[in-house]
This record gives sequence, C-alpha cells and structure tokens, in this order.
Amino acid sequence: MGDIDLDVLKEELLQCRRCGLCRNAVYEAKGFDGVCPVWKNTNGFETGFMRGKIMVALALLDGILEKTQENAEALYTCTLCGNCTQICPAAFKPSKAIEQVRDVLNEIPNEVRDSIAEKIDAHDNPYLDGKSRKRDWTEALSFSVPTIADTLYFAGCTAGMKLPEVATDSARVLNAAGVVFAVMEEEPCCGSVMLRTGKRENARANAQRVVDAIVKTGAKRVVVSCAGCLRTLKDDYAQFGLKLPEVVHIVEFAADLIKDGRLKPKRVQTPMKVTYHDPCHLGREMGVYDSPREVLKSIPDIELVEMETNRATAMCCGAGGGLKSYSPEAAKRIAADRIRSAEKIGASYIVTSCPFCELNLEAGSSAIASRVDVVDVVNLLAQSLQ
Amino acid sequence: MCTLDAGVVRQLARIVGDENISTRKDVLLTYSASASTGYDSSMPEAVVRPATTEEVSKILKIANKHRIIVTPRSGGSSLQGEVIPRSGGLVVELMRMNQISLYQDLRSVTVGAGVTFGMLDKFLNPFDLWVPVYPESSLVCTVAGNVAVNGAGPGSSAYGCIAEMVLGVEVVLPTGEVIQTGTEANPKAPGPFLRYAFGPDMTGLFIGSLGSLGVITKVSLKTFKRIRNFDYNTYGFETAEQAEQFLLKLRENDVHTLFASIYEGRILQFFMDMLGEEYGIPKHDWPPFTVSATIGRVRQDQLASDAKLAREICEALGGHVIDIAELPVGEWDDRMRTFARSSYAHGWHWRILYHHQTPTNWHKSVEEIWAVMDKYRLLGHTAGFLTDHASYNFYPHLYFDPADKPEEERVRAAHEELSQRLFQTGAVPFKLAPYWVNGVPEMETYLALVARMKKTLDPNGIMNPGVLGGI
Amino acid sequence: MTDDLLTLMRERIAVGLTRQKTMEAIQGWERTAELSLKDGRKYTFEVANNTITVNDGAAPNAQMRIESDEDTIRKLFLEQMNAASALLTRKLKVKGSASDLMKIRHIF
Repeated sequence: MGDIDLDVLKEELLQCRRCGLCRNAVYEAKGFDGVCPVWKNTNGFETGFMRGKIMVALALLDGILEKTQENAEALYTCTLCGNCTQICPAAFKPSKAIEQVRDVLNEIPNEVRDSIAEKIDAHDNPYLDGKSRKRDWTEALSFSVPTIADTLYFAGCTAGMKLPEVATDSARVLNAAGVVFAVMEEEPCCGSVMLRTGKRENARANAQRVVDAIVKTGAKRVVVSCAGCLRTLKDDYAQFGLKLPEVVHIVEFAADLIKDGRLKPKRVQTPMKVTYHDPCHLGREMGVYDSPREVLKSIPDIELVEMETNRATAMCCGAGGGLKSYSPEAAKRIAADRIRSAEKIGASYIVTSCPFCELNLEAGSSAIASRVDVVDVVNLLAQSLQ
Repeated sequence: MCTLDAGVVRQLARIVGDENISTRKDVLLTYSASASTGYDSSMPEAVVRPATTEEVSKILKIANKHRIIVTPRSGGSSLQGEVIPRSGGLVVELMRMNQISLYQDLRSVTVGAGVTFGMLDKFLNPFDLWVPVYPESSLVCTVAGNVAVNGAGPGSSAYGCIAEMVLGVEVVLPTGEVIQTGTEANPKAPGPFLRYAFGPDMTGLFIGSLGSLGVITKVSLKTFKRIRNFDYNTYGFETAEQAEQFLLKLRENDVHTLFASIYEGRILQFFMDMLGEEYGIPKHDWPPFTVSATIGRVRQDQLASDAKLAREICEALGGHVIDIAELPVGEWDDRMRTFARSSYAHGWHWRILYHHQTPTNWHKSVEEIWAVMDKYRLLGHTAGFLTDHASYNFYPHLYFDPADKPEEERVRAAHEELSQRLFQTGAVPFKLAPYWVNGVPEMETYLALVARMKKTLDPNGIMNPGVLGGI
Repeated sequence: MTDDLLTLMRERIAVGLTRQKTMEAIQGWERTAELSLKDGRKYTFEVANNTITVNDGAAPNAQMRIESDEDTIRKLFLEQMNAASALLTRKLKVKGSASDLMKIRHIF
C-alpha cells in the first residue's frame, strides 16, 4: 500500500458519472434488494449514499466545500460495505475511493476517529483505556492455552473484550479438533478501524508492531474469529508489504476440519431455523461465502435459510467503516433492518462469523424487540461438539 | 423570483418534518447536479422530501405563493440536465413516495413517484406480470421520472415508449391542486383501466413535460402477462438500407421484437473489444451492419413462428443470420444494467443527444453524428434501438475527458450543432431541450402553444422554468 | 530505454504493414499523432503515403493525441493488449475524432 496519489484518486472519483445505481437498486435477477444501508436507514438525502458522498469528496478536495466536520459528515456516515462497488458499472471501487479520501482529508477534525486511534496506539484496543485484558477469556476454558505454538489464535478486540463467548467457543472448536494453539499474552489490535477511518499512518505503524508480535510467536498459522481481522491481516498488511504466516478465519478452518473428519458435529438441540449473515469483510472483501454455510449445514437439525440479500449482495449490518462509533443510531437502525430480513424468512437465529457484526446486530435486535437471536457460527459449532 | 428565506423553510419543515428538509451546503451540493455530465451544476436553496401527495400539494402552494422556483426530482438519473435546479430554488425530491398498488382485474398497477422500474419489476414478477418497457437506467430511474421525460428502452421495440404504457397520472399542479387523469378522475372507478376518459388526453399533457407543468406523484400503467419465451439472434447486412428495412419488416409482419438495434460494424467491433469478453460474446468479424434482436412471446408456438419469419425476412433482404445470440442475450437479460455498464465502463464523461428518427432514415442520423464527431474531434458512438410504431430511438454519446475543459466545451458546442443538423434530417427530440428549437422559425407556432399551456397551468412560472424548449 | 521502445515500435509497425486490415485502414489516410508517456517522453507517428513512421519528439500540430505509459505501449505493440481494453482500463487516453479512433484499433 504505497502513499495515496491524489491525482490518481481524483481520477478514480471522476469515474463516478452519478448514475445513481448505488442508491437502492432492486435487481432481483442478480440478488440486489437495495444497495446502500445508510441511505435506506437514515434521512435519505443524496449525501446518504455513494453518489452524493463522491460529490462531497470531490468538492472537499477541490476546495468548493470548506473542510469542516459538518461538510465531511457524509464521508464518515458510511460503513464502506462495498455493496455499491458490486453494482457500480464504472471501472473503479467507490468504497475504496472513499476510504482513501478519509485518509487524504484526515486533517478535518473528527473526535471519534482520533480517539479510537489514540486508544489503539496507547492500549492496543479501540474500546478501553488501560490494559486490554484481552486474554482474560481463556480463564473460562477447561484447558490451558500456551503463548507459543504453531497455530496462533488471534481473538481480536471484540471477541476478546466484548463477546468472550466467541473466543471461548473458537478455542473449544480448535481443541476439539486436536489443534494445539497459542494465544498471545498481550494481543495487539489489528488496526482495521484505523485503516477504514483514514488513519493510515497510524495503521501502518501499528501493523508493523502486530507483525513483529506474531512473528515472535513463531506461529505458522494464524486463526481469527473476526472478519475485520481477517481482511486486515491477510489483505491490508500484504499491501503494506508486510509478511505474515497463513491467516485463516475459524469458519474456513473449521470447514476443512469437518471435511477431514477431525470435527464431528452432533445434534445441538431441537431443530433450529437459522439464517447466515455474510459479514462484508469476510464475504465481499475476501470471497468467503461457502465455508460458514458448510459448517452450519454439517450440524444436524440446523435448517439454513437465506435472507433476501445474501453472499455478494448481502446488506451490511451497519457496524463497519467506523459507523458504529461515529453514528451509533444509524448503525443500530441498519442492524434492525437486517434483523427484520431474518424475521421475514422465519429464522429464529441470525448467525454470522464476525463479533463486530454480532455486537451491532444484537443492538439492532434489541432496538426492535425482535425474537431473532444473534449467534456466531462457532457458538453453534462448539455446542454441537459437546 | 423570490428567495427561499428562513420563514419559508420553517413553513416547509412544518409540512414534511425537520428531518425531511435540508439547507445544508453539503446536502444542497449533492442536488446541484444529476447524472447529466457536461452540464453546469447549480445550487438550490433547499431540498425537501415529501412522503405524500398532500405534502407535495402544500409545498407547491407555498412555493407558488412566494414565487419560489421548484425543480421536481426523483431518481436523479436524467441525462440532459432536466433536474438541475435553479440557483436559490427548491428541489422537491420524491423518493419517499414508494407505494405500489396492483389492480389485477384491471390489468393495471399504480406506483408512487419514488418507485423505480427495478422495484416495480420485482413486485410484479410473482404475479407473472410485467410492464414491458425498461429504461436503461431501470435500477435508478423512477416510473414517474421516466414518464416526465417519456423514456424508452428494452421492450420499447415492441411496446413503444413508456407513454404507451400509461393509463393515468396523479399530478400536483404548480398552483397546488391535485389532478387525477384517466379513469381515476372518477373517484368511483375501481381503478385505472382506460387512459382516454373525460375528454382530451390530459394524461398525455404531462408525459414528456419534464416537470414543467406539475409534479407527477403517481403513475398508473398497464400490466401484461410476463413473457418468458425468447429468441435471440444477430443478423448481418452489407448496407444500412437492408438493416433499416429489416427493422421495418419485423414490425410490419408482427414479429414481436422486444429489442432490436442496428450496430455499425466498426463501433460494434470496438465495443466488443472492450466488453465482449465480459459478456461472453464470441469474437467475430462483424459485418458492416448488424442487427441484434430479441424476440419474445407469451406462447412458444408464437415464438417459433416469429423466429422463423425473422430469419426469412433477413435472408430475403440479402442479409445473413449470424447466429451469435450472446450479444442480444446480454442486452436483454441484463437490460437493467448492461447499458449503464457499456456507458460507464470506459472513463469518458459524455453528453447524450436522445432523438427519434424513423428507421429508414437511420443512416442520416449516423452520418450527422459522425460528421459532428469528426468536425469537433470527438469520440462517441451512434447507438440506438427500434421503438414504437416506426421510430428508432437514438442515444448517441459525445465523449469528453472531465479534466479537459476545452474538450468539454467542444462537446457542448457539438451537441448543440448536432441537434440542429438532426432537426434538418427530420429527427425529433426525445426531450424538448431548448437547443433543438432555438432560432427555428418552423417551430414558433408550436412553441407558442406550449408556452400558453405553461402559462395557464403555471401562471407564476415556478415549475422548472426553461427546461421545456426554453419555456 | 528510449531507443528500445522506439525500436520496438518501428519493428512492430513494419509487421503491421504486412497485414491487409492495417493497409486498408491507412489507405489514403494522412494523420499525425503525438504519443505522450507518463515519464515525459514524446513520440510522433505520421501516417502518410500508405505507411506509418514513428520518431521521437513532440508534434504540436498533431490531430490525435495519445497518452499512456511505456508498459502499456509495449503491450499494445506486442499485441498482449488491445486498444479497447487499454482504453477501458484508462491505461490509454486518446483525444481525436471517433473516425480516427476506429482506424487506430486496426493499427494497435
């Protein structure tokens, strides 16, 4: 990931001819039922979706709009979900372009963005000041976890601090397959949110620290539970020119372990009707759609039904791109919308493979008092292995 | 005209709610332009997003009272500057009006002004119905907006422009009255089933009016049983005349051609080099003129008969059946996106000059477009499709690099000259932009009539002034 | 490097001139095109007398202007990429009339 060339970025932004497909395209044959979750769930002005955001970006870059927080609001009211990039008929990546604009224009004040970056720089997590205690979840396990092994389980900040059951269940799954794995004493933050919110320089410095820490463990394989960690460690770090051992998501790994017979899921309970929500970082960005579904289908008595939008055209949960911090209300409304999609097909559970999605979907489900429960793939898998 | 001051903004906010009106600079900027590249943008003073016809009516009454210029807008996908607001004016954006009501026994459907063709298509599909005209911007443009410009697209080769599908409209006049045309002018009617009710074709008055005679808040359309049997083929010809006659004969002989286009060999070759692989179109040495055609019928026996006849007509004219189906398959199956793709896959911005030409004059339009492109040293294309009874809807593009201002200026000049040249060939504008009729004495009486109607309906001249032939 | 690219272009033009489609395209055609590379180098193509010549240097009165980079030009001349793909990916920018662009694709 070299420095952003402003001329190239502007040329990219000018690829937007303002056709508007990125707003709310309903293209049944291709699986689109709407595109922009922000436009759909906020006040619906043009600034709510990518066409307007690119106009704002160009105006800020060209000095037509003054570089103020209010004028930059549209740039940050976006999850960078990439659904617009999927349908855009032009030859550029709109969501990537906006991510870069955030970085180029990061002199525009943004307290939320800056405080998250400060926390990560100082405390290796975006949530709390002070020691992150990201290893505390291992105390709930019935087995001990070393700090050095060929396989490193990188729990991530959200699983490690907010949804420890994702971390504990991931660990149980690995243990059940006989995989010896380590967890770092002091796990750093992958820095995904810094990249998405325009703090590339901070992200680059953080990335070097992360790589050094991982390499120090001697691990030959890194397993993650978070879609954001996967994309960042595997894709973004490579663009920084940083080398890591193999990075794989727990659902990919588990799917292979099931195929190899090292994991044998049993019945969980009475039959469950579940739907799978594709996290943007795992699906659209990294192309992982089948593994989580294979895992779910391997668990007896789980009926998997698909929401109207799924796989490459899945509507975003609303958490990503910094939106959950920047505009928690918008993030919650988007999540509630996604929960309604699950309700519509009669699913009792919405299952996903990203703790950050889960956190936000839970908030959305509560907001509308939905009966749809939010769980991780590893929660169900771990249950089926007991 | 008056400025939209804070007092008026407060009145509008009381109608739609604070969250549905904005005077923020960043928001206004995003309404200062549309999909029309190569047009100057212009900042409105406010944008308002009503949810109901009643709200639109209240808004227009206020605008009319204070003489505030109004630009109605829905999808924002129009390409000839139709929804670029006036400085200091009010944009009324209609995307919240997204209701759909189906009248199966009346074979009709009514949609709110915020319903796109993609939304409507999905709604009708489970009923085995469709409205068989798909603008090339179907995923963005609304039915109401398309009716305001009288659009066309795939499907039009058999069914005509969108106008042919319209049974009635609900319109809010510039003075705020709500008018229903067609059968629904009778409040006791079961719904929309006939356009020509209660005297002259009032529905037609608003079709193609470009938002200058009122705000269309609902459109009622005919629905048809969805066609699911298709024949796709390409037909090669050595002369333009053969290709033109082929289109005419398809229509004359009732070959139900949903979409047919004539491509010049060199342009087709160029686009195939760019996008052929993406659409799985085999490499081919395309003849001087290719007709790409999709035939569709409700019944398989009808389709077989039509497909056979099309081949016979082609060969009788001296052409040959190419039998490459992938080109029309891509045009038809991906009709809601493919034209956007081929218009935006390359990096050029462009101005479009929609016009209708009769098929046997197809070559005249092509000659003029090439002449203008060569005179002004511009790139572009000569695309179009068969439409309606005996028309061909051209949508040529004149390309420019957005970073090259002199080139953009040449495109604007070329655009205007092209419209004048095309007028001389007997072509007619798809949308009545001013440059088509500037300084054309033969049009004066016609335009005077349009001006009188405009004055009657919009006495204070608030509705998108100037968009309709400069009136 | 300059001589390398110029030599390549001349060699490939010589090959092209043996092809019927190329000869048909340039038959009776007179044009000057200026190629500008991102690194600042310029070349002038002259089509006249049913042949094509290329020399280094600018052509201020060129009727066609082409902008690209060395890698793309090499690929075009070696037929590893066609002009339309290069245009699509914005590796090639062409300013000139549409008729000229149509002819160019027979030359690249």
